[in-house]
Amino acid sequence: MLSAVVDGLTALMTPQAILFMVVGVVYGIAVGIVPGLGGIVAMALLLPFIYGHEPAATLALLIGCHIATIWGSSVTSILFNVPGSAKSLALTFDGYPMTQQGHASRALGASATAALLGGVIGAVFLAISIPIVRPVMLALGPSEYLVMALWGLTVIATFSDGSLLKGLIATALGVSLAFVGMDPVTATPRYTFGTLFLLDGISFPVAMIGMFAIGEMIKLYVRGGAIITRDVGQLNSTTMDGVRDVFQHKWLVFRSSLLGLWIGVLPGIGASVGGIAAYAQAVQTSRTPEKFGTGTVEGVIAPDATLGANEGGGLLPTLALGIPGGESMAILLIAFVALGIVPGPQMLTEHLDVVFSLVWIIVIASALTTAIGLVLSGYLARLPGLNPKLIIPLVMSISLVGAYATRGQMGDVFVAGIFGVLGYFMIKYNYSRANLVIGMVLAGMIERTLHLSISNYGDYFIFERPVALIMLIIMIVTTALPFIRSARKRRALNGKLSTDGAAS
Amino acid sequence: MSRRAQENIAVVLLIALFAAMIVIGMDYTPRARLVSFPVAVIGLGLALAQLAWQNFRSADDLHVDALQILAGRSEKAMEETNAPRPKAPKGGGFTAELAAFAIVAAVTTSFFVFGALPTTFVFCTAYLAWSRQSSWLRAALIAAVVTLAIWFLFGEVLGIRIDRSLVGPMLHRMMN
Repeated sequence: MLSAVVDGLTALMTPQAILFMVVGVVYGIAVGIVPGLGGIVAMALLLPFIYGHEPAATLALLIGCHIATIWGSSVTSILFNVPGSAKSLALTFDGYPMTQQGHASRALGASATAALLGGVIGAVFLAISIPIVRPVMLALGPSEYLVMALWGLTVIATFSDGSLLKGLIATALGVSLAFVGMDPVTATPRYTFGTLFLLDGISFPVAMIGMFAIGEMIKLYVRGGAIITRDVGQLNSTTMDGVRDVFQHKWLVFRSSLLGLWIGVLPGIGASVGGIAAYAQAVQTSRTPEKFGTGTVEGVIAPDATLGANEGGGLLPTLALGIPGGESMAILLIAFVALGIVPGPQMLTEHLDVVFSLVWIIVIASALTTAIGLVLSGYLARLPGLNPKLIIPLVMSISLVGAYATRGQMGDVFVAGIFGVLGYFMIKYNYSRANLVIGMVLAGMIERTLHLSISNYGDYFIFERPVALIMLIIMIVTTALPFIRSARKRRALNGKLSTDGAAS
Repeated sequence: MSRRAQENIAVVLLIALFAAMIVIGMDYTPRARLVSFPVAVIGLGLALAQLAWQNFRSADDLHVDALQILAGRSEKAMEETNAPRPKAPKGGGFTAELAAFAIVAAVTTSFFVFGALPTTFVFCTAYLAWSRQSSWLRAALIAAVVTLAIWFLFGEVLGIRIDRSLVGPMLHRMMN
């Protein structure tokens, strides 16, 4: 095994592999910052260039690019409240308030460093856990994944700002909007009104660009003033403050990384749930939970560490079983086939050096992304201080072109505009946009796994699968708990008030 | 219009949307509506509950801070938190909202009719000049840089066809 570790690293020490890694990382950061064009688009666009090169160099290009897009997405979440991709949603909860308070440099520094540590921890645990995790993965079926997806929905509904009821409505709306288009099971066109364009459904990145980027620009236009509430020149926090914050919260980084690794290992769950779950565990384990949502650095560290580690976890089912851990891993699977590498159990015996090359790529690409990120953070942090009159046309133009670029359809530009107006009203009336987006993401998984569960285990499948049943009970209890506690608290308060009134 | 009236209109629109989804969904096969139908019903139920909640309970009951409840943070701790929360827009004027929606509608329509690059150039120039951010010449220069950057990133680096428009083929035919 030790020789495979060394061989994996040696394969990456060629000028071509190093050059490909640098190109992939720089390109990934640039594409990640553009709203809507996440790691999947970036990797897909690189696919035509992979043929005829060394496998290690090709994988360095693809994975380097993918890892860099994650940090790129975090940048827009933190600076503009516009998540570059769904997985970076949780970074808007505290990252954007930090920017508003003039701590953008600190948030970006913390984000880059947490992503590096998460990436390293994820890669190390990937190397260690390959033989252990495989049986666990095989034991979980569609019913368990269905409950996990439902759990993802209720977790974000619980954590939405303001009314829980509104959070749940936004989630239901998001799930419903995802059903527009051709039903993947019966091929029935749903809610398409006979139009050809809607047969493909509402593109998820386009909806997100509208909701966040255009919605945010409408808000900025209506409100006026710059994004940040303080003068950029008077900032007293630096990128290095963010780096120090990460090391001060080392256990949070460790916990979040393990969570990200575990979520990555589960095929199909994806990092979108991971970021939210990381945020939730950070709140519940923090000594100062009251500061979450107001611009605390812990709210940036936890999701970024999880996202960093998620890559290592996502590689496990891709390599060991040939089941992609997410959409980006599906593209990687295509690259494997193109390179003549067949993922599956034999990867861990015949191609162990390739596996360790991937582990090294994650570590080196994470380090490179962080190095570039730390250098750039100071400059990027000044962007929100720009006059909104300059920001609005710039972001609007890039967003609309980005919406068009996702599928090359003009209709998507209108969809982005409509979602922009919807997003503005959701901000105005406190309906969580994050819930709507996650609802859209998880709807497909819910539908697919429900059909599979019924086909495999019958209509009462939940009673056939004890693990899924236990997970469902836990999910119901955790969702109902805030309502019950709130009702109890109000009853106690009303009781106290009436006692005080009677006494006086 | 009062805040509550606005909130009521918003939730009534949601009720109408979920109701429409239920009615339309009735035509689909049981397998095709297996998930979409219950979700629309749940959405309708939640929206009706929200409508009742915001009209029959006091304004204080409208907001439940889940973080406060789950994390067990007290009212006092909340008050002690000195960092300001990000604020939702305060409805900043109906005229400003209408203007913003008109801009979005105009830009998206122009994008469809004239294409990405001409729209970007004209929109950026017009916005910067009319908002008195800069002179027409300076606005045109900035817009040209933005348009070139978009052309380079999307058209050249990412290889996306950004010359499509409604009038483009018509102009091409006229010129030939």
